Amino acid sequence: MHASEGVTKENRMDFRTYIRKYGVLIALLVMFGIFSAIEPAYYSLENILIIVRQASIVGILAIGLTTVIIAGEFDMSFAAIASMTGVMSVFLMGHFHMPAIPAWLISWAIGIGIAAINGIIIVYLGVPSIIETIGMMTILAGLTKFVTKGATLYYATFPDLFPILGRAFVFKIVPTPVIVFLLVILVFVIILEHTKKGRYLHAVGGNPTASIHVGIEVRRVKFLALIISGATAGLGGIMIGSLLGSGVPGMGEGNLIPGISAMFLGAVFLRDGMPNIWGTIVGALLLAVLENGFIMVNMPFFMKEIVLGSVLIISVTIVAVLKKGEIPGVKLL
Amino acid sequence: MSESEFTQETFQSEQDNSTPVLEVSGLTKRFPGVTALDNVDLTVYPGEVHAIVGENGAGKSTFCNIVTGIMTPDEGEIHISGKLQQFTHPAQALQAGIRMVYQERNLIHFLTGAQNICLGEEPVKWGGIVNEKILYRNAEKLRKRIGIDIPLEIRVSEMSAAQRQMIEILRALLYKPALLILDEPTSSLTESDVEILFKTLRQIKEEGISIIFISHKMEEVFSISDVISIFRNGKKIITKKNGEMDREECIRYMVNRNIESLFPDVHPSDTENVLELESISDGIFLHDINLSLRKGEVVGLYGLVGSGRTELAELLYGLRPIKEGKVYLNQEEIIPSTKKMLDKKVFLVPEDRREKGLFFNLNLRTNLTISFFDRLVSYLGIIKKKETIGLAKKIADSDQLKLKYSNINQNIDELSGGNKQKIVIGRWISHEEVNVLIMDEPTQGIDVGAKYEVYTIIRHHAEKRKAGVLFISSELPELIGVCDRIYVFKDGTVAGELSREEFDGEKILHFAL
Repeated sequence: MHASEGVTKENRMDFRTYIRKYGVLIALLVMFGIFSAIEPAYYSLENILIIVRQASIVGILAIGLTTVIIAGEFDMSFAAIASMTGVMSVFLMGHFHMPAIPAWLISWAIGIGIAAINGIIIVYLGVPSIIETIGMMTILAGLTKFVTKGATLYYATFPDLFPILGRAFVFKIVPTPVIVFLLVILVFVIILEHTKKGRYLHAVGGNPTASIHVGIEVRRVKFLALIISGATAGLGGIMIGSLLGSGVPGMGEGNLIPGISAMFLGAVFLRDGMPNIWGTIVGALLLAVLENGFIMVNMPFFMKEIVLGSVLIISVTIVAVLKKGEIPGVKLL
Repeated sequence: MSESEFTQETFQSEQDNSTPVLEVSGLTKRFPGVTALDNVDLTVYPGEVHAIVGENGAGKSTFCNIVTGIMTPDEGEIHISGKLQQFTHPAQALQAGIRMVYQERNLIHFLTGAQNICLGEEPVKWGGIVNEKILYRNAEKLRKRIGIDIPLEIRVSEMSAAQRQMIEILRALLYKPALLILDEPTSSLTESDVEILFKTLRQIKEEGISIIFISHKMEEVFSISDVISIFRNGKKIITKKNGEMDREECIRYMVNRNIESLFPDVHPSDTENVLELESISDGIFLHDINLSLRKGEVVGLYGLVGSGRTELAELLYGLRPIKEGKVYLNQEEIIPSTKKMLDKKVFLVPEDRREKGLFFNLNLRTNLTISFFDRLVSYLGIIKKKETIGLAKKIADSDQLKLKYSNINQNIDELSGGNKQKIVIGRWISHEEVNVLIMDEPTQGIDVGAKYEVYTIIRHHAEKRKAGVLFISSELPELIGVCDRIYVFKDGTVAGELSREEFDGEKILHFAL
């Protein structure tokens, strides 16, 4: 090969790599630009913060899912766990007049407990994670209906702290969910990118056999990943409860497809088809920009699902092409 | 279906006894760092059983892959029944009448024998419904023609290994191929099953179908074949009629000598045992293994693929159960587990670095340092990045490894095979203390230069660092050159032990075959 040829080829490759790496971020900025051009109120600080608030709960749930995918498993039950913890927190505060903090801690523990059951069945009994968590999702849908008797839980009095995780603002402008989202991002960037455990999560998902050979306890690490997903789902659920101010049986379920989409969109970002935390965050923001923008431009009501489904299929298709048909975390049998 | 009928006709018209069924000339296939097939000529005549024998890695599989269209050759020509063929896809080889029966069985277990035989060629009625009656009639006709006794109505899941093998062969014969290739067809059969298989093969031969029979079991080769070709290091060494060559001669051709000059000078050692195995069995396959390894000694484990060497390495790492027997490490009994072995500085470089050694989703730095994380973390388990980079660079640039890389944070997929292997080796040898180093096929698929570096690492660890090294390899010349002692494995146990003075390729092969 001639030297000059090599250089131009490399440059072209660099440009393509650049587009591939930052495509999702570029899409986010382009969509934001388009909506801003249509409606100047779109890029006001208030609206931007509302968009981030919209992204924060989906983002928190999707970060848990990303952790599980990195460890080579899948979690379909995170949104249902969020429903369960959300309903439980409302129920404990309203029905038993429990103060907010113990009610939150108990319902959070319930979320983690459900994840532990997932973990035992998946990791120690060897059931494929995608199937097991679909089952758990269904069970939880029934259980939340049992707790709420199928109706909306609403009570006359709630503790004063109740709205703080969903509806409050810091400095009168920054929504509290945004603050929580930032804290979760901080914690997970450290865990996933800078700790030994995080490195082990990647190792176990990347090559379980090699992990065994270097002395990593593969099962324990995968179990931990599922527990983490339960913890983020539990946190998300509590926040949804606080945001709605009441308990609705399927209150978390609307986050299932956006959460999965954010994760797969994120897999396209930065790491060539490998789900990662920065990508998931950008993916969640892109979805929020789209949703907020569609409301602003009065998109017909049925378009939301059509766009959401298309985004999921397109992002998974790109991942499948990049990974040559091997979707991370998706192993049916 | 119509296509197959067409091809069937063509074979019969072109088959007379003078034109060879298969004629290859100058067949060459190169992989990065290794010539897998080097200028091979081979001719198979109609109705001939042609055995191809050779050690692991002699080029037998590559040859079959090219003839069946799975790989394309770099050089050389293939004539099938006198016609020049350039296969780019396996379907073309099938079309030309070449059928291969694979070692791994490709049967669908919940279907019956007949249904498996006709798989993909089902007769249909009413535009799509399988006509079971004709299907069974076709299968039965074929069974009668070949003249073997095998039930066609029962499911494959209820059949014995030999019966399954027969079904697989019958399937290959459904449209009378010109050439049938059998790759180690007897590896999972009992002796009486082998007899049945051979009877079938003789029947097939009567039909005028040629057979290529790949095996490393000498007795079988002599009992079934008309012609024997011997492969070694990617070259065809010789072709002789069965009867013109005895077992000893055959083995002599299979063994490569005159390569010892490549290896470092070897110094035998005489110290205490670092590792000792006492009648180890796993209750499944390994049985009654007695083995010892001294400090500063390199002990080779030779054997055919599947003779139990890798399984033994896995057992020592706690990845397989121990049913009976004892393991002693430095004179102390130990119940093997990965964690304990790592604590005691017993390190395993597994075979197949891609499957068992490397993390392709992690960068070079992490791949090198993953076994050191316990000491690279500060409070809360956060990894000290600067120290990690420093250590990774130190490992990569060490005199032993001399890794060729562009950036310590690079993607490891871009490195050569030899450098990938060095990552897995470097991960372990960079520990301050190494008691036992187990290397499982460390030189597979790497170039000659890198191989030599691996040999140097092995000798260095025995001589300078006083570690015991277990060197598992299927390449006899490198074991003879590097080891102080060799154990030969066969069928899950030690079949022979040779000290350096007794090293002799033929002798070692005798134990292994």
